[in-house]
Order: sequence, then C-alpha cells, then structure tokens
Amino acid sequence: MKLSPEEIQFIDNYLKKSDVVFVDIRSEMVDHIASAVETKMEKESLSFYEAFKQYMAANKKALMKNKGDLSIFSKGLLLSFLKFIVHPLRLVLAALLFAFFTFVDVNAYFSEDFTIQNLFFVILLVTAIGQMIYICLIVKQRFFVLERLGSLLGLLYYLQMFFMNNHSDKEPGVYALTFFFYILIVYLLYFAREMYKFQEYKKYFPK
Amino acid sequence: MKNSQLYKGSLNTIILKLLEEKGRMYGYEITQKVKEITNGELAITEGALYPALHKLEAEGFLEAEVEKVDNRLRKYYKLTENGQLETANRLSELEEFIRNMQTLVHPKWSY
Repeated sequence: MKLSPEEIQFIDNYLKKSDVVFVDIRSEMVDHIASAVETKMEKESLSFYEAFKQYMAANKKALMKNKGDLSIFSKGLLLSFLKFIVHPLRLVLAALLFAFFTFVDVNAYFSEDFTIQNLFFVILLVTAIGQMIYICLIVKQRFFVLERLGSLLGLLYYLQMFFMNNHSDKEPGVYALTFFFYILIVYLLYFAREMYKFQEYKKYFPK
Repeated sequence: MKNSQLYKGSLNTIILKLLEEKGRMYGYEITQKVKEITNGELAITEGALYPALHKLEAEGFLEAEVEKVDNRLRKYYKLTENGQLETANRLSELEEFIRNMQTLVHPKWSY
C-alpha cells in the first residue's frame, strides 16, 4: 500500500516540527518512515495514522539520533578532507607554495598594521561569509552536506590562531605559511568539488 | 541492535557486503535485508545505520543517488571503487577474526 503525497507531506511536517532542519537528512528519514509505515499498514491492516503513531512511538528516539548535529565534528568529514589534502597532484601545489615562501620573503611586503596573518584571516573571513551568502541567498534551504563544511573552516581558524603567531610580534615561518595557505587553497577546491556534487543532488529538492 | 557490543564493530562491514551483493540499496532496504538474512535475530536501528552510511559516504567508500520513488525521494547507496577494495579488506579481516574466535572458543587441545 503506497502512501499518498498528503501522507508523505504529513511525515515531512512532523519531522520539521521535531527540529529535523536539514532537507537532505529529512528526506531520507521521510523515506525510511514511509517505507516502514507502508509495511506496517499492510502486515497489520492498520490505517496510516495508527501505523505512523505506533512506528514513531517505538522508533522516534533512534531516528532522532540521525537528525544532523553540526556541533559534533564529523570524523568522516575530517578523514575525507585529509584524503583530499594528501592527493599527490595537490601535494605538488604544496611543494610550489613551499618554494614560493622560501624564495620570496612575503613578510617584507606587509607592514605592522597589516601583516600576512591579517591577510590570511581576511581570506578566511571572506570564505566563511561567501559560504554563508551562498547558502542563505542562493541555496535558500538548509543542507547538512553543505553546512558541515563550515566545521572545517572553523578548525582552520582555531589552528591558525595557535600556529601563525597571531599573538606575538614574530613573523610566521615558511612551514606555517606553506601549511596554512595550502590548507586554505585545498579547502576552496574541496568546497568547489562538494558544490559540484551538490548541484546534481539539489535538483531533486525543489524550493 | 541485538548483542550490540558484538555486532557494533561489524556494522560497516555488513553494509559494505550487502551493497557488494545487491549493487545499490536504500536505508530501509538494508535494515530489512539484514533482518531477513538473520531471521530477525539482528535488527539494525535507524540511529546506528544512517550515521554509518553517512560516514562511509564521507570517507569515499559509498556514493549516493537520489531518485523520486512513490511520491518521495529515495537515496540509494552504492560502492565506489575505493569501497570495493575496502569491502574486500574488511571481509578478509572479519573472516580472520571469526577464525580466531572459533579457535579460542573451541580450542583443539593437544597433549
């Protein structure tokens, strides 16, 4: 017995009210619940509402573990990003950056009022704001696959605070500059790749 | 999940093995297939299944396809090339583990 569009909408609204805010996670949950409810209706000859009520009473707690918590840093995401970083082709870029920072004293091009650390911070900020604008003004819906990328940027922000000599007069060394500029550039590439994958994905989610 | 401590570490391998056999599957289908194969002995909860699927996807072992089915969207998972290699590795690791456990549980004493 297949559920009607109104019944599917009912499940979707129920999950929205239960704070499942991410569209991609919610749509997967809707399909799971709908499949389970259909089976229950058929096996136990129940109405939609009765089957739904019984299913949610038994499984809501387990289901809600999956609603997507951005405050928990995803180990899977970090691993995926680390794999992306150590790709041989991209490591060539790291070598080029290292050569650049070794032979060019970039700190000489900056003043005390605007250091290279400040420039890095500005680029980081622009990237974060750009991402937020993209999500709020272009995507206009909340997608877990997109928003969780922000946690990588957050991690980069904290790392540069500790390792770029932000709170001392010492200029950052070649290794620190290479590392952070490499990670930032690779992050932008990673974000672009995720965007590309997401465009394919997004066409199934009308606004 | 029944006997969760024993099964927990094998959840990813179970998912990868099923996807290797079936080609592509969606979440609910995986839970039902596991239940069917184990005659209802093993029930994977939604709270364990989806985080595992999303982690395997983020690690690049699975890729997803979304399709509209019966008035709703359905996310199918399938193995990537890396996922196929990972499945083979994890299965051989699991088989070795089972062999070792059997030896430990049923030791052949020699005097």
